[in-house]
Amino acid sequence: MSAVSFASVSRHYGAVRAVDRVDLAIPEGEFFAMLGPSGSGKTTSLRLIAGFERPTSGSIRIFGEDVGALPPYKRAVNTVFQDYALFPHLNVLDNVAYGLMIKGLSRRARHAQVEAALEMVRLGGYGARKPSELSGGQRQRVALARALVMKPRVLLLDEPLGALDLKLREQMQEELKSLQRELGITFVFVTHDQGEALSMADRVAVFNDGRIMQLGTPEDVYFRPQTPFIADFVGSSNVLPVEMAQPFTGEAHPAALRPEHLQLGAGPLQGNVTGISFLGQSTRVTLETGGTRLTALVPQHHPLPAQGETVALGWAPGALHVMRSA
Amino acid sequence: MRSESAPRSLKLAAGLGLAFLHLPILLIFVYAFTSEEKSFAWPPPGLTLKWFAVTWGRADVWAALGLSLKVAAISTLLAMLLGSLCAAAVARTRFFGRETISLLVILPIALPGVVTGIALRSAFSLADIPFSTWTIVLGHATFCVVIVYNNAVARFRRMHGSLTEASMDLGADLFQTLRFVILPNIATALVVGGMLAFALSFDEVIVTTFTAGQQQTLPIWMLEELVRPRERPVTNVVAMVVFVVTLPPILGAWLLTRGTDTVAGHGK
Repeated sequence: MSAVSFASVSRHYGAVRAVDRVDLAIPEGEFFAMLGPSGSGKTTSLRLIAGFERPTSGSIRIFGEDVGALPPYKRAVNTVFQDYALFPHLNVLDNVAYGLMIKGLSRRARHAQVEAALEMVRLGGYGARKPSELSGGQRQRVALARALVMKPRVLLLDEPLGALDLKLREQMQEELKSLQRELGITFVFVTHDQGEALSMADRVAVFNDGRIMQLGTPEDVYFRPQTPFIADFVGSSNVLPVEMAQPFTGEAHPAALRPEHLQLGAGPLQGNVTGISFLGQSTRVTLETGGTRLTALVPQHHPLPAQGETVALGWAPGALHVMRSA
Repeated sequence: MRSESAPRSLKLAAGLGLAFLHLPILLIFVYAFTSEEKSFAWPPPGLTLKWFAVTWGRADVWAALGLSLKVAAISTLLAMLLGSLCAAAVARTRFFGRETISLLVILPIALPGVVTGIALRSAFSLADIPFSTWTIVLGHATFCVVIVYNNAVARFRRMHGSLTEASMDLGADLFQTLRFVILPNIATALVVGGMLAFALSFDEVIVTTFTAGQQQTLPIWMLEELVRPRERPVTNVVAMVVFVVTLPPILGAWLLTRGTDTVAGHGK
């Protein structure tokens, strides 16, 4: 049985199709990412699972139960909000204990569980603080503890790391991943950051215009994108249009080529160097060939072309990925 | 920022301004003790406490005070209920005509009291409603609702919309969310709005003149009393008592709103 499943779920706002006929099955215990640009329908899909939105059509099941008519407070899921949504009038302890208090647990029972939850997110001893006295990373952990203390069967995370700085974000990625492995809970998280989705998730659903464009493992969507949109959005891949790719692939489809696979100096195409930027590990060279913009990543200590120079372009056999769904 | 002290002339001007604002109030206190009852002569020919006793014994003072308290209390409660509900609707949801509603609620406070008064008076007589305590309450509610609404709507706007969602996500139904999350977050705004509304209603003259029948609220009574030649200091005694009684709630409102410019936990 799937933890969460969508059967042709749509959510329309007037003429806008925020979510459009989405089918989806998330098995129990999976770390599942919904990835897409803003307005792609990923957050609405998450809110449909939480119960803040009702589907216009289609059915949503959580562990087999049709939840279409259930309000948020009757669902076995909990949410970590993008802005954390900590209650400003309550201290950390009462924030985390809120759900247990609503459940009717005694003060003593609540406090024992809250202490354990705060220990789990490494915030033991912070119970008396107000949310305003915490840093962004600490607030994020409180929000996480507040959701986890409810022992949800599915944890929903809405851009959980969006408001954190880069270093903290990388650290929290690790922690979320190990926490999920430890607890074995199904995590569903929404992000617009492809790096975050690829590094944390077991499977990724790439959203665009209210639909899932591709659903697969991080390796799938990164190395085998099915559409030019995914090649560009997920992997920052080069997209070779049909007329450029067909001579090499023999198929009337566009093809994706990863920047690190594009080699300069020898090959069938000619490109004009339009930009060179140093990235540290490698140097990014942008080229223009027959009206198409291509990007190549040249590793350290390799010879670099000059700005405006015309160079030959090539790739190793098998590096071109034909996008047959496009 | 410059922290050296201001030039003497500026200090003097500020002092004079403050004196101009507050000395007349002190003057009222002094005249409450004067022994001269017909005119306010300066300096007072003598000081006496007898006006306090006279005031205590006058039934018309007690009737006016009672009516004023009753009207202010009912209008304030009405305003707190309607004002907060209206603020919740305008701040938390989107619906057709939202901006119009918002403007229509605020408009009575921008409207001169005379216009509100005349409008209400003609409406009451058109509908054949006899003047009573309730017509005064309705008149006062027009501006009391605005005060509570303005306070509540500002607080609602600063309150994150996701707080109610978080509450429901954690298992609380609508009533529990109202009780444990929404009310605690808007409580001070409601109390402050209520205090200001009460104070406004308590000293309102213009709208009351048009919506009262034979009854007198305290400010109307004072106005009438000033033209009477006898026992004038009684008015001053009443004014002084009203001042002393209404000061704490106003100060309280100020203390409560101080330092709530930023809602705790708001910044990211």
